[in-house]
Amino acid sequence: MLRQRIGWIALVAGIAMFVYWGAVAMTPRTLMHLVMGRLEQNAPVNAMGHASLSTAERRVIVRPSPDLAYSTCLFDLTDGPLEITVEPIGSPYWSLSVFDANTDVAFVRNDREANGQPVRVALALEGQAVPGDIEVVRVSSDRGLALLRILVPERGSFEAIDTDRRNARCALLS
Amino acid sequence: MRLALRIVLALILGIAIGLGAAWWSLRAGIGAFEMRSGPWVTSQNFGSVDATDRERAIVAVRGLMALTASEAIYLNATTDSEGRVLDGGCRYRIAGPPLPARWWSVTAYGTDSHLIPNPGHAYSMGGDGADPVLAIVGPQAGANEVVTRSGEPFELTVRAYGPDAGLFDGPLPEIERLSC
Repeated sequence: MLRQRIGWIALVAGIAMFVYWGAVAMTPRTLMHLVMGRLEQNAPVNAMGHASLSTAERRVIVRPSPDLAYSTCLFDLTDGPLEITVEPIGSPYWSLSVFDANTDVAFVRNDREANGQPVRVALALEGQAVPGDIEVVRVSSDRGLALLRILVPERGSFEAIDTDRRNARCALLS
Repeated sequence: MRLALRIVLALILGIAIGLGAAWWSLRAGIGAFEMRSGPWVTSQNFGSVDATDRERAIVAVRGLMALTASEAIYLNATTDSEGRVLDGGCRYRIAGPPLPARWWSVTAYGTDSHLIPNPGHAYSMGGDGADPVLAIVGPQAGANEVVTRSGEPFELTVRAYGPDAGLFDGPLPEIERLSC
């Protein structure tokens, strides 16, 4: 009787531990999936979308910086590599970062590292062929997010920055 | 039949306990991060493959798509420098020497990790790395002040972009409560 009871408690504990680790491990991927679903309303997959400055009323992502303009490219590499180009932007700071589906950073480059030149990269899965004259970023998941962050020192400078950032491009590599 | 019932009960109970434990664990929020200095908490593992599953999950819940430590440092606080919970009805000064970074900002968030609504969109203060850190935060909208909401606790995030490697080891801003 006691053995049965201990066995049952051990079963409950084992199930609980499995569920705990599974829930924790799946949380980033799940939240990333939810956010990408919301962003898909602003722009289609494999295209650049440009958000207006963050406000308390816009709740697409948690903890947005109100000093940054965000542009996003939701990518899907199932049909092949993707090319992203960011032309220089008139701002004290900007950066392009690429996140995989598990929220890990696959690539990041800021304006200072770009040294006044455009940032041009190809996102590709392992095994996908990419022409030789472009920097390749290997991503571990089919889907993910490229995020362009641009410092807007004061709200009055947003219009000029908005014009510059719309030169950024995100499209399947032809 | 009784065995089947016991197994079903074990499944239900195990799933409930497992999900409850996950929720409680992730609720620890920024308190789970390993680097602390005064009221400020951060991690070296934001956005990194080296992060544990729990760290990655907490960041996903509280600050999705945070950059790696070489690109940006995020300092988070839920208390002032005296250890008192940040109160949206009180007025605070966040001040310190310039941070070794290209640019800094101080932003207030609700405990739900969203910006705090106010008509003037006064969410943050920022400056060049050469400028001392200075931000006034409180429930009254004033010139160059960040607005919080009376009756609700809030959180502060300092962002330092292009940080030097030793930023967290140097002097960090004090969070001083001025009045309530």
